Amino acid sequence: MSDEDKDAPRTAAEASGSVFERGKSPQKRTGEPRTTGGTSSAKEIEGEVLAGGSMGADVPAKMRTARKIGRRKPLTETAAAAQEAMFTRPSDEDGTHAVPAEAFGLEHDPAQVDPREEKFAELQVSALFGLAALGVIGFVLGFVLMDFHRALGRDLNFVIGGSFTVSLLGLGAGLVLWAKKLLPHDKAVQERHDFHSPEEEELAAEDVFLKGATEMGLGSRKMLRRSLLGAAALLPIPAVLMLRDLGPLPGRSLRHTGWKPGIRLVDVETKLPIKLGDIEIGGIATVMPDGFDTTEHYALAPTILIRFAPGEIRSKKEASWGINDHVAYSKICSHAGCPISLYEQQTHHLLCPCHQSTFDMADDANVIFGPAARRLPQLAIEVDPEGYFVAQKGYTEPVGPSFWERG
Amino acid sequence: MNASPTSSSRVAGRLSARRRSLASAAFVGVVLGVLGMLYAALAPGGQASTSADPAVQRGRDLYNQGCSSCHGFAGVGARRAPSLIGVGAASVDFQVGTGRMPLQHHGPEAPRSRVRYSQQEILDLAAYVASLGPGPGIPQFNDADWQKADTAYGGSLFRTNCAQCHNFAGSGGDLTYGKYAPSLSKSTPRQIYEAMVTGPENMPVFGDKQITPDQKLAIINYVRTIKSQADPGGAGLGRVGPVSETVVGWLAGIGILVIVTLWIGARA
Repeated sequence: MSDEDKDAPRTAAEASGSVFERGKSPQKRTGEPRTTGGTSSAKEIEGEVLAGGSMGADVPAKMRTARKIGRRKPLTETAAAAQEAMFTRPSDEDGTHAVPAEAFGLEHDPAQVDPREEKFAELQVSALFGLAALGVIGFVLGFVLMDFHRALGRDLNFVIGGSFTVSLLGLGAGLVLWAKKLLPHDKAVQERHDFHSPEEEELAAEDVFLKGATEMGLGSRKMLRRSLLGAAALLPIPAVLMLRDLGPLPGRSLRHTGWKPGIRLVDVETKLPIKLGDIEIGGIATVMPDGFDTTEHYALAPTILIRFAPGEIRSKKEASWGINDHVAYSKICSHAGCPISLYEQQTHHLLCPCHQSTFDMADDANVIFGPAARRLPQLAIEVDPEGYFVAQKGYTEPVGPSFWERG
Repeated sequence: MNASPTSSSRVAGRLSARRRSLASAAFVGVVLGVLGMLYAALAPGGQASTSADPAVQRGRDLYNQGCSSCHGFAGVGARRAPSLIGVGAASVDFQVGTGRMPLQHHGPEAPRSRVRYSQQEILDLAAYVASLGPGPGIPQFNDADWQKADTAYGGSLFRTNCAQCHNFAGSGGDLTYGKYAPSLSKSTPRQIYEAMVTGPENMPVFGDKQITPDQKLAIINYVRTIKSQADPGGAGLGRVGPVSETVVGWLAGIGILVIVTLWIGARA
């Protein structure tokens, strides 16, 4: 811009002349390094700093208190006055006011800085744009040159993802830097229009509604009105009726597991019966009743069969419900019903992966940690004449989490 | 002591019935005594390590130097380490071959670490410990054996028996009180097999009658297959699925966005 421009009004707000005069401190756009124009005397500034009060726009940047992230500086007197004036004065055609940066206590127009600084800023911005271009080239090279099948999911992802990131970041950072260092910092404020409709439109809408109601005869045709109201009143019934599906009560189904006296324990995966001696000391197997299927009927049946070393079982009841150091317990956690088989063969802890309930399997599945409120139910087992494990009887208590009717 | 019963048995015929019964008791005593001495001389006794096998002898020397301070001489165990009688060669090959033994420090879990012994030394140690008592031997199979096993079936077996602790992608997981099931990403096929038959630390034992050798090879093939699969996202995130991906996406991704937004807001 030429020197003649410097006093010409740049915005409507300026042209009308007012408080902005102070903000428009005489600055050279070119030539000498910028100086902070000031009308305040050193004494005034000192007084403001000591008082901790807000400082004028002309206070040198060095003397300003440091910004804290996330907290907006209180408006300076000048800026507050500028804002006040803005809303009391006639607006531009579209309701936009431009407020020069100085009025808000910001630094001077970056366009007025030292040309050497300006040149350096230009260099920085174009270097960032260059980086963005390099990122794109890297993306293309990586995509074309790397062996797609070998590098997919490994190096290729990092190369193309990384290069594209560099490219987008460079572009974005360059634009931000451009705006910060080279663009004027004026603020534009636009007033909102009224939210409610003009009165004539509201009246017109009312007319349309009343006209419709009259034409339909809502007032005179009583049968139509009543049958409409009646039909609408029945509408909620299906929604209420569907609540019935919350029932029926489970009855005895939650106590049924599919285990019966004499039924063989089979491996859940191979479906083969398990013989005494198949499980090593310290071993564990997930078993189901022989002939199980994947229906709801057997949903509560999963059971774990554990073999201890002789003498490791501390509970007499546990030992007597098992056979030859083998015991069987429900695999379904008594807390929330997760399947548990994180078994530690030395500590005999059984850990539920859902909420970390821990059961001591050498002490009748006693709960030693976590939210479970009950021991795991034990399945009494014995060995049939052919040497296979069978259930002595079904579970004697409901397995799995608590339910209302459990008692 | 032997002299007197011998002389009385020689004259038994001339003695009274009461003395004759005394004499026969003495004879039984002599026979038992001789048998006992013969047994003591011929039986192998507690020193099984007197085997002539040079591997066992080398292993015993290594054992006495490196292991006996905790496990005791002849693997009898001590207060701070269990007995090694009957753990078998597979256990030694696993524990020493993964660097878990010799133990670096006492804690809930012995982590995999640098292997301290050469392969030959490990085999010697294994031969020595195997000579202390019967136990599972080092499994013998080659890569072709597990590579032709049924991966899908192995995956099914893995999810039933292993995934609860090791995670369905073999990334491992936490157990109680600081213990954990390790990731299987560094395990060799032989080590996976050995872990199943020996049940190291708190892992349950899966004997060959419960999971047959063929099924074990199928499990190995599954573990090795998922290990070789790529992570299309670039990072596996433990391969525990949508949970970890969502957590990272929300906390890291959205978190960074929020911080950047705050930063921009503070600078504007």
